Formats: sequence, structure tokens, C-alpha cells
Amino acid sequence: MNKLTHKLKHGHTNPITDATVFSKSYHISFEKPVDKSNIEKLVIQLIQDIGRPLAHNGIIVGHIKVLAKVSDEDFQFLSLTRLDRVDVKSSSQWQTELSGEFNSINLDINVLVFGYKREVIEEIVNGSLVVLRCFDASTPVS
Amino acid sequence: MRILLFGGFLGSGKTTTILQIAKYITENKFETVALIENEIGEAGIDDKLLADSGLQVRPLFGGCVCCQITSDLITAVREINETIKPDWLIIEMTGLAIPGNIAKLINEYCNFYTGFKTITIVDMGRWPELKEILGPLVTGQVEKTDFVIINKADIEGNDKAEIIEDIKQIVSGVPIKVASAANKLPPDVIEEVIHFE
Repeated sequence: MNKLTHKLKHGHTNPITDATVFSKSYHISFEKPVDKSNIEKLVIQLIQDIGRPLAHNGIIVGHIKVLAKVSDEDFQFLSLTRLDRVDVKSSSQWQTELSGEFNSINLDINVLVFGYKREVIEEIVNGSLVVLRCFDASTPVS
Repeated sequence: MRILLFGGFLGSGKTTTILQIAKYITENKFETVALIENEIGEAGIDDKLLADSGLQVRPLFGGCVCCQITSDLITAVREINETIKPDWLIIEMTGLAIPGNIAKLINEYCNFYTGFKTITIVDMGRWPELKEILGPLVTGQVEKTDFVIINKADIEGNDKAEIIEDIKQIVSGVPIKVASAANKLPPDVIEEVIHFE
């Protein structure tokens, strides 16, 4: 539902509608299997790359959340509200089973920010995902 | 059933705070907790995090950003009261909701509760910028609440005393606690949150 339709349907306007929600799931296949340590580094880099162009004086006016899953019970949750701090939480299974390599991951990306169009956010997200899609396990992640 | 309704801007630390409070209630009071998670966006994220902690979570997804509550929430509260009958119901609102407005609806349509409190979480680190850009929303989240937790106090950079004073100017007569939920909420803060006369 676009903003205009929304206003028509609900019969009101509200400054909160200036917020844009981008919420999408992705399946990312790696060129070579990647371990959890590198997945964590990659996803941290991903959320920072998404956040950088959307930040205002180093803070996100909204939030960016990423759920990176290697299985339904084995996942990491990342949240970004300011560029200098990424909050990372791991599922209980992620912490107990650190070994193993994975050919792919599923990502749920939820960006809610003020002042940006959905298309702009999508372009930023797609651009940021390249680092995961082209990841070469022989190159260390910074 | 006692109801705790959590509000606060996006990314203020509501989920992190709720996880600790729910855990405290179940582990220290041996009472049951159900959770309603109201998220914006099709891909629910917070509900998975909460469910991983063994909590019973009822997700409510709203594509609509501006309407802060729908009949879905009232239906969910009633249903949980009638079927699960937990000792506590914790509701996490979206980061764009104003807790005071939702409290009115709970009071009107779900007044079977034995205790009800709204708690607003404030992100201390972003408060000056958020107040400047989204003043009416973030002050609205604070001004009609029963309890304020000024969170992320561990983040350096802002004048903490000035921010605390600013919040006190907006909401008076309610407890205001400064904490860092990411580092663990002090038990006395949790006790105060769950205390009912």
C-alpha cells in the first residue's frame, strides 16, 4: 500500500508515515563454504554497509535489523542504531555449535528509517549484499 | 493477569529489556509469562529472538506504520487471558507507538487485568538527535507513561545529566531509572518494574 492509498484508506495523515519500512528475506549462496566466525564478520560488515549511507550524524533515525540463519534454530541477530556500535545476539544453538561450514545462509533484513524512499533503501541493501555473494573464504574479513 | 506494556523508539532496547524481565519473573518468581510482539515489517525478527529464550510469543505483524494499534492486539490480549491464562502478559509495541494511547485502549477493552503498567525505554545515546528530528513522537512516547528506563547509559558522548533532566521535564511523578540493558539490568530496577501496589 503506498502512502497516498494509505491516507485515503485510513482517512488521515500522520508525520509517522514519513517512515519507510523495508523488510525482505534473502537466500545467499556462498561460492565456497563459510564458517560461523566468518559469517558473523560478514553480517556485521553488511549491517554497517547498509547503515552508513542511511545515518544522520552517525545515528540511524530508526533501526536496521538483520537475522542471519543457517537453520531455524541456529541464527544471529544484529541490530544497528548508531554506526559505532553493532549489537549482536546469538541463538543458543549458535553458541553451542560453533563448528561446521555452510554453503548458504538466509537473511531477514528489516530497515525502518525516516527520510528515505524504499527504492533507495533497496538499492543500498542490494549493493551491500554483494560482499556476501562474492565472499572468498581465502580472503580474511576485516 | 498483570500486563506490562513496553514502548520506546525503534532500537531503544525494548526486546533486550523484556527478555531480562521475563526471565527474572520466571526464574525468581516462578510465575508464567506470555508475550505479544508487535513488529513492523513482513519478516519478523524480534519474535524469533524472544522465542529462542523459551518464551511463548504471539507475533503481530503490522504493515501499517501509522496506525499504532488494531483490533488484533485487543483480540490477542483477550485470547491469551482466556486460553493461556499467564500470570503476566508482556506486550512489546512497535517503536513508533505511543504507549499512553495504547494504554487507553487496554483500559477500555481489556480491563480484566489485575495490574497494568506502561514502561517507556529511552535510548539515551540518540535522545538529542531523535528529539530534534522526531520531537512529537519521542516526547509523546515518554510523557504519558508509568515508568521510564533511560537505556544505553554506557554509551559515551552525551551530557547524561542534561538528558535525564530533559526527560524529567517531560514526565513528572513517575520513576525514572538509568540503566544499560545490554550489560544486564540491575535486579532492583526489574523489581520496581514488576512491582504493583
